[in-house]
Amino acid sequence: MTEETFEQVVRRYGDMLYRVAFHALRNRADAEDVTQTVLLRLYQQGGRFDSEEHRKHWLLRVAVNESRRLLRSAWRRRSVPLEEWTERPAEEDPAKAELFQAVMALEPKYRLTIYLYYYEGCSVKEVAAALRAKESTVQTWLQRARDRLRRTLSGDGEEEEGSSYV
Amino acid sequence: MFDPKLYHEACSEMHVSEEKLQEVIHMTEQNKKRAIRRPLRVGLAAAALCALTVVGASAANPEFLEEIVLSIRSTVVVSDYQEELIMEDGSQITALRYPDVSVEERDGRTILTVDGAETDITDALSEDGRYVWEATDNGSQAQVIVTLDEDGKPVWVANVAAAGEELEDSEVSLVSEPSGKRTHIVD
Repeated sequence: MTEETFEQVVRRYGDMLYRVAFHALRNRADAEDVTQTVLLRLYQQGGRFDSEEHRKHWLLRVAVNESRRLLRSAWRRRSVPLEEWTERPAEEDPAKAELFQAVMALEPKYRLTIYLYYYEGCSVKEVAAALRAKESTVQTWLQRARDRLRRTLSGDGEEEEGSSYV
Repeated sequence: MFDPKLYHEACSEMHVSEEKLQEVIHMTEQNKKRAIRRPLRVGLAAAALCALTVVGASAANPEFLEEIVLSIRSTVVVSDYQEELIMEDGSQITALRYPDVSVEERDGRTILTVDGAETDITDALSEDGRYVWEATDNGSQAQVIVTLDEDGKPVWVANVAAAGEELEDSEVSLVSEPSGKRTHIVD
């Protein structure tokens, strides 16, 4: 991969990687570390892919794996309270902010499923590949995430469940 | 109710900082520049020095390699992983020897072989997703990290640090191709 090509790829996928990592880690610093790690791995890998789609899904899988690794590490064995988030988009739009907060209050596996399915437009099969889960499991996660979001946003919210499983 | 459009708008407002992107781009540019400036920083390979491994652009240039070997006046073996080479012109080069590494699947088990010594790392890989082999000899350090790639196949990275240096500061790493063959050198 030439330097120019790598820079183009960095700019094309940097935000995507950051968003995936943030959905897993809920922390800007960690999410940016993961973003850099994944991009460096891409550079070392040499950029040999069959297509742009192939590259994108490789990046998504690696970002999820790196985020999981960080979640499991001793350096990070604590949950991040909602109040400590350093990324709060849409603060000027209460409905948007409430929705984002509700998604971020879900367990990591549900957050990532919602992000990959609704924002990245991944199919259930693609989400399953990125999260190394069965398609039926992803279907279940999607359903549960929607149910919980519906309850939270309608005012019947439940306590955040702490879990490091992504 | 979950509004996908609203969620999409919220996520679109999340951006990685330009500074972090520039850092990554800069890192890769620096790696290339270092490789050109100091191709002999790590290792030499030749029939006479069969335990040392060539790194850098010279690897594909046998004439250059021969020139290097003929330019060595003397060597001082510091450890299993480090030799100090004194060149004909009086300059000194630190040569690092990477351990000979292979990972193979045998009877359903994953076997790591480093310099001839075998270790069954199947359980470590399945539990932790990684296995780390380390050795120290007279201040020099060698490390092999085995992890699983996206297809679940073991891949490894080897780093060596001279006495007085840290593994984290290694400028060159030896990495495996997905097939397990040692062919790829990363700087």
